[in-house]
Amino acid sequence: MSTLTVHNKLHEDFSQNSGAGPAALRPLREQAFARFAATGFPTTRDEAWRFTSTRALTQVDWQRADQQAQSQLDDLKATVAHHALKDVAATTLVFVNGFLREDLSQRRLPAGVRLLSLADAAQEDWFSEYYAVADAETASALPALNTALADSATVLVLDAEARLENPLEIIHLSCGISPHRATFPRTMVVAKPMAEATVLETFIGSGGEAYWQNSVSQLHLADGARVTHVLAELATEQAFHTHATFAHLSRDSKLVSENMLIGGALARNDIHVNLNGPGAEAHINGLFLGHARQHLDNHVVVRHNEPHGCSFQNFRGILDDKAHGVFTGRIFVAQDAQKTDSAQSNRNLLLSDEARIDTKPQLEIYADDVKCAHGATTGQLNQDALFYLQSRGMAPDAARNFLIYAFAHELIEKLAIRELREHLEAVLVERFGQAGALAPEA
Amino acid sequence: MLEIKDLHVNVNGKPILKGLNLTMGEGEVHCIMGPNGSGKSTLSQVLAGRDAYEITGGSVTFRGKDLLEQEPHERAGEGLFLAFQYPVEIPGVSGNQFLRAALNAVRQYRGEDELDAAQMMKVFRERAKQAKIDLASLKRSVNEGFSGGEKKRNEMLQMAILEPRLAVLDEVDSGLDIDALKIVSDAVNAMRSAQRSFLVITHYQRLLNHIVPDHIHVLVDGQIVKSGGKELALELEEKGYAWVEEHTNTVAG
Ligand SMILES: Nc1ncnc2c1ncn2[C@@H]1O[C@H](COP(=O)(O)OP(=O)(O)O)[C@@H](O)[C@H]1O
Ligand SMILES: [Mg+2]
Repeated sequence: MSTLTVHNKLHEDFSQNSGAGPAALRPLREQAFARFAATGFPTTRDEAWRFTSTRALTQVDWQRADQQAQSQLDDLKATVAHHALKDVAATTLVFVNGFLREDLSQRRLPAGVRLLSLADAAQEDWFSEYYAVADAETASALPALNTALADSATVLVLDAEARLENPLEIIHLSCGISPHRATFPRTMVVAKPMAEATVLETFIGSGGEAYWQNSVSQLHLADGARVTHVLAELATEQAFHTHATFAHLSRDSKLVSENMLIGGALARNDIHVNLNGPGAEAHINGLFLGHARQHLDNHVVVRHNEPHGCSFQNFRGILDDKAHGVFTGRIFVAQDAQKTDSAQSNRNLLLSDEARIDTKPQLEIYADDVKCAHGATTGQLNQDALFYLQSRGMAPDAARNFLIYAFAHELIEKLAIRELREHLEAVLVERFGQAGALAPEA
Repeated sequence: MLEIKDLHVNVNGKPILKGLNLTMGEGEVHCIMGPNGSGKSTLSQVLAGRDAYEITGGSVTFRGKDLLEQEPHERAGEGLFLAFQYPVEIPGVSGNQFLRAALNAVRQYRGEDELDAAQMMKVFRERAKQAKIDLASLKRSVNEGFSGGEKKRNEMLQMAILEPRLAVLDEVDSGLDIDALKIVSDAVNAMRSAQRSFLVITHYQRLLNHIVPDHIHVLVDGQIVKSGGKELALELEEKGYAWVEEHTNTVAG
């Protein structure tokens, strides 16, 4: 298999380290690595990867980032402080190159809420069932590679009716000088009945070298649980980031999934949502902002397996220069999933003639009493609106920026975490125009 | 204040304005009446600087400067305001955000200090009160989902806040019920002053019961064919546009 002859270092890494760690993990890791070895990286021949080539990713002999390569603690602190939430007393976990850094982290957990290490989680009775499920859910073997190589994880367990008031913030930082460093961040949220939590995962990097983060998040929502999962992908523009979120929703549970693809030369975000109990509800929203030659791919698969579920997808993209955006959203409604209510919307704004978007809805409906709406639009800035703004005194650039802001703002204003809204508005200004015209609501 | 001389404008190669002349002084209210398709909106869009129109001849001077040389935002800075016949919806930003950006842009052009959000709010309140218009619409996205009347009222609110020297109102009365019409015309009347001129463009004589102009001009087929005092409106109402058109034809023939 060509993939493995190229990826010698990952292979070596696996053979040397698979024996380490908790016994419960070993068979799962071995299966997962075997899966990756047999399947390799996805290619554009795979339907789910039609618009995204992993060629550049496969040409590097990736090596697991090491702890030694970390920069000075002061630099790290500054980087983390720049990205961390400031005004909520959150629990913050900082992973540097895949290693949890307690010296940069802080914990404020209420009763009934626990954070487990991967080793401790492996002792829980639900563990092997939940942990491996990710690998089977997608045709891509990238999540399996994460399972094989992740040797730390954030496992958030919420007891029944426990409530995490402030967000749990997880910062995944890749840093160092190695141009081939790869990390395998892993997060699990296990919310028991009626539990509630918001989890923010921020992916950042430092330095001008290429690096790869191949991450997986798993969300298990028991009956009536409510989980908001926010993904802020702020990788450097040389970086590769492949991520997959797998959510399992039991009866009457509610998931809000918010996905911001901002950085990365290549960013691919898979979101697999399974509505496995009646009355489950999922809101899956995303904003992707591409410029230069960025490639940003959103891949959403929602499976309605039980009746009376609802799911709403709302994705917006803004693409400038030669950026390439992808949105593919699949809604599957099983025969038993009567009274499903689902909607999907993808709207894109192209700011340059060379920017490109591929958007493709896919509906697969086996029930007969369902509502399934979908729509996609792609356009440029509205000339009538530009003129209207200019006639009110705004210079052409300011008017353009104002409309870009307005387009993104419709999505941003609904985001769960206020500081993230502000951060995104700043990114908009930085990327697509000068600050002058943008006037966030006071 | 405004001097339009022999203005010729084409749209997609087709002549629409065919030698239009109009002179307005400070503080004057002029009304242009004309049938559908006579070029009323073309005139107002050309004054505001829409680039889809090709100016093939003539000149426009506004407050001593060549208007046609200026970019749309510069015209706004100089004190021109157009109330659109069809105001544009801008989802995603509130009227407050929109007007803050607009007023600060205009202030910057005029060399005035920018205002912060609190100062803005104070200005908005004062001016809305003066124009007797409710500010509530500014909390909503600009014109999104507004009824026809709400849109026109919102244009008047923008006018009150931006304090133009010349306001061009393109069919600000069309499609309004009598209550909305009263709100709109009350706003205009409240804002009349010796320093501010209005060019009120309408299809219907009804508006002139509420806004009494100093001068009335009749626009037919891209030219002003008749000008007079407010009594001209009554004559028009009685005899209809056909009368002017006939009249022009006999004069021309
Ligand atoms: N953008 C345009 N493209 C083509 N024709 C136009 C356009 N705008 C105006 N026209 C034509 O110009 C003429 C005058 O239009 P307009 O100025 O809108 O008239 P009014 O406002 O008096 O009803 C009409 O015949 C109209 O069809
Ligand atoms: Mg018109």
